[in-house]
This record gives sequence, structure tokens and C-alpha cells, in this order.
Amino acid sequence: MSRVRTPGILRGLTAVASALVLSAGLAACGGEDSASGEDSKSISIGIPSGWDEGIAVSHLWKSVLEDEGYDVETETADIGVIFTGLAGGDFDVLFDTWLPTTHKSYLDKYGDDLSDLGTWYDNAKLTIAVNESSPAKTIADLKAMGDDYGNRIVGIEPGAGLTKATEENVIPTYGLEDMDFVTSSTPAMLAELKSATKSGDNIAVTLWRPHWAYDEFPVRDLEDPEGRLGGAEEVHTYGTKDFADRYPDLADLFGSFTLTDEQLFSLENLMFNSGDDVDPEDAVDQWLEDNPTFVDDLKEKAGVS
Amino acid sequence: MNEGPIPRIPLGDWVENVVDWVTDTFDPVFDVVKDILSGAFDLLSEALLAPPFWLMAGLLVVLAVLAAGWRTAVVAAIGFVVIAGVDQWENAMKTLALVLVASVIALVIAIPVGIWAARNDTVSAVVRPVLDFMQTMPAFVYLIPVVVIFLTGVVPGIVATVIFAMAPGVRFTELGIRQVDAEIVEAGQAFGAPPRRILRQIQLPLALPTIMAGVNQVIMLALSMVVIAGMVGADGLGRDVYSALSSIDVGTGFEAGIAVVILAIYLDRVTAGLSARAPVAKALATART
Repeated sequence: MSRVRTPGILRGLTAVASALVLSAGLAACGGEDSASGEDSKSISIGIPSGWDEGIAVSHLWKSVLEDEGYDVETETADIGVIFTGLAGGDFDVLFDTWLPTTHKSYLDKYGDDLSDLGTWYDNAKLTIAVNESSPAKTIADLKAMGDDYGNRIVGIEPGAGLTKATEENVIPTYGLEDMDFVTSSTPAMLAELKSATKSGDNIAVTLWRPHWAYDEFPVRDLEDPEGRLGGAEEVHTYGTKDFADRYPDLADLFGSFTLTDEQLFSLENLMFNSGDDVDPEDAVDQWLEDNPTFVDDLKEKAGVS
Repeated sequence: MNEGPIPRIPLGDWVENVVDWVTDTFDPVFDVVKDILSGAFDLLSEALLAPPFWLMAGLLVVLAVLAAGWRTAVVAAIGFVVIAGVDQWENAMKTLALVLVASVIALVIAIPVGIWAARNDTVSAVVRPVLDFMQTMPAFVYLIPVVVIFLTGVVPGIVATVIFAMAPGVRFTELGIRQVDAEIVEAGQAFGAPPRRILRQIQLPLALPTIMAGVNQVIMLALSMVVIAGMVGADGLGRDVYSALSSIDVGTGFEAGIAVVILAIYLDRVTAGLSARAPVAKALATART
């Protein structure tokens, strides 16, 4: 084995050395000086598939960072996979961590290897939603009105926090055991919603705010008088453990980043509801055109030039 | 969005319109299909789960003895104990029900089409690209329209599995019949046998080992779709595997995964054993000794 190992170590050292030389070279020729040191100039964003606000915001930042001269890589994967990758250093940042409830299980697992870079949206929540024209007003109504909804609640991924909350809290509390709670996947749930909207059938789904489905389909939330789906949630930006050391400027920028409902919904609408095949990049360009001061305001707030 | 000499082909819009039209037009038909499929699945999975574990596993092991001999049966028995030991027996039976329902439907369609394609070159030429399409089009692409039509649950899972698993049933049937010695067929014709009888008494029996290999392949492909079926709401092992992925639960993922492997080994050996028991295969085996 040792015959193999030595060149391996040498190769590794050479790679590290050349990376150091390269990054030193890059640092020398690019980037503004900031008090806390130099930002690395390439960054990798993990995009959680099916989490549309995360997809939208990741593309927004990709565009903004590229304009700032960063080399941005994005990779789309299942949210669980992204947390694993972030903890392992495969990704540098994830813009879509829901706290305190939804992603708690991931943070229990990987929290020690991650850093919280700030909250950009604090009006998120988990919901059970029904079509506007249906009778139920609160989740408790479903117990008696199950038949009106085909005795089904359409769920998302079986491993999702929302699914867990529905199974463990909502169904037992409101006595909905007689309804069939079908787990599938986010796209399948949305396809059902679309299909029910077209055919005029009543439907109950597990959903969350912010989501473009509220603009696309005539749905409303059921009240949750017992608060079993948890209160409002915050959406945080999470980075690798050493994020602030490697990207001091960006840590400031992400820390100051917030979106209003209006801003987020308009971005999601441009990206997901403009009908024909809109490129996420085009949607972001359009949105930045509609919000011309967004980047400058943000930089000013973060004290980053 | 247009950069370049080729105009944008609105293929996606056309497909969407076709799917919308199909959804609206055949809605009553789909309702019936849905009821039949979910009824068949419920019946079968309840039947498989009705007896206690040791009885059901015992029956399956006896089937393995009859079809594939003692060695397979012992492996199967150990495998079933493992499945029950990791608390996946119920899921495994649901998955088995899904695989069997989907495989039977796929074969009921595939074998007649295969026979037809074997006897008619035009049909064969038409069917081949269609099969290529069904086997290579990523499942996710037709999954969503299938969900729009059949809603979430076990039915879209069965439909997607049938689409994906059907092809080898057709191909192997056609191949088996085409490979039957022309001289034997001519001999049948010389004795004045009508085509139907030639098919039933010469071609099908001689092609049976190949057709059974096709059956085996259909079942294996159906089993490989369980996770994707889980994504649209089908019960069973696939759901646990999928759930383990979204919650990074290595343990549960592996337990459900190993149950899939054991089911696959069982179904593979039993169907292969059945085809080795076909009269022609026996005759060939005797001829070789």
C-alpha cells in the first residue's frame, strides 16, 4: 500500500499548494478590500428541489453575486441531501432553512457543522389548504366534512417536516383518522391541486406560505385553532461552519438580506407562474428591473461597498 | 428566447393540450380504470396481509420449493425472516401486491401484442419504436400527467409501472415465436392445421421458455419502479425508501432497500424456476443429457 500512498500524499500536497498559489493570485488581482479580509471568489449554492421560495431566492442571489464578480455554482437536490452536503462542505450556502419546526430534524443532525447567516423572511407557515369554494373553515371542520373532500388529505414527501407535523400533531388532535392522508411528493400534490381546480372538485392539501400556489389556484388556509402546525416560521440562510471566515463580505450581505411578502411573491410569480417556459435567469432579470434599488439598498444596509 | 436559426417548436404546448384533451374526454373511462386498479390492489394486498406472517411466509416458501427447489426455498425463508425482523413485512406485501397487479396488467397487454407483432411485420415495425419510447422516457415525465389524471395514491404508481415494465414482455414474446423453427410450422401447415392451432399447439409451447424469460423481466422492471411509485403516493417499501431520502435516514432506507432486494431475488428465482419447468425446457434439458 505504501507504494501507492506516497505519490497520493504528494499529489494532495501539490494540489493544496497550487490551490493556495491560485487563490493568492486571484485574491491579488480581484475583489475589494474589506476590513475583515478577502472573500473567496467562488461559491456554491445548494438549491432544494420542490422548495420554490428557495429556488427563487437562490437564483436571485446567483444573479446578484455574478454581477459582483463571483463565480457561482448551483446544484439542485433533495433538501435532505443539501443539508448533508452543506455539513460536508459540498455546498457553501442554503437559502431555505425553516425554523423552528420544519427543518429542526436536520439541524439536530448537522447543526454543529453549520452556521446561521440570518433570517430573510419571517412570515412563513405550514398550512392545510382547501379550495375557496369548499365548506370547511377550520381544520376541525374536516372531521365532519371529510366526505366533501373525498376523505383525503393530499400530502407531500413522506419524510418532510410538514408531513410529520400533519401525521403526529394535526390528525390526532383534530380526530382526522378516518381521512386518508396520502403522502407523495410536492409536484404530485401540486398536480392534484391543478387537477381539482380544473374539475371543480373539493380538495384538502398540506401546503405552506410563502407559496405561489396561493396565486395560481383558488385556495385558502384552514384555521388551525389548536395551533398544531406550529406558529409562523422563519426562513434562514445557512452556511458552512467557516462561512463567515471565508466570505466576510457575503456573511454581512446575507445577514442583512430580507424580502417582504410583496417582493417574494412577485419573484415567485415571475419565475413559476408566467405560463410558458420562463428561464429563472430571465425572471430574476425582470424582477431586478422592477426592483432597481434592491441590490444597492442591501449593500448600504450591510455596510458593504 | 430565440437565439439562432431554428424557430421555437411549441412541442411542450402541444403535449399539454393533448394531455388536457385526453383528461377531459376520457374522464369517465379513467374513473373506471382507477376503481378497478385500486380495487385489485386493495384486494390483493389485504389477501397477502390477512394471514399471520408465518403462514403467509410459509405459503410463499412452499411455492418456492415447488417452483425452484429447496435451495431457493431456504434462502427465501431466511429472507422473509429478515424482512419481518426489520419490521417491513407489511410494506413488503403491499409492494408485492403492487408489483403483481402491475405485472399482470403489463403481461395481459404485452403477450397478445407480442404475438401479433410476431405474425405481422408492419405491427412489429410500429411497435418497436413505441416500446423504445416507453422504456427510455424518464418516468418523471409521464408521472405528472398520470397524477393529474389518476390523482395520488397507488393507481398512478401502477400505471407508471405498467408503462415502464411492459416492453420486455412484448419483445420476448415476439422473439420467442419468431425463433420457432420454420420447418416445424410448415409441418403443421402440411397436416392442415389452421394458423390459430399452429399458434396454440406449436409456436406458443416452443416459445414458452423465452416468453417466461420475458415475464421474469417484466416483474423485475416492475420492482425497480417501487420508489418512483412511492413518490406519487403508493404504499409499500418505496415510500419508506423515499421518506428515508428526504429525511436522511440511512437506517430505514437500508432496511426497506434490503426488503426490496429479497423480494427481487425471490420473484426472480421463482419465475425462472417456473420457466425451467415448461415442457419444452424439460425436453431440451433431457436432449442435452
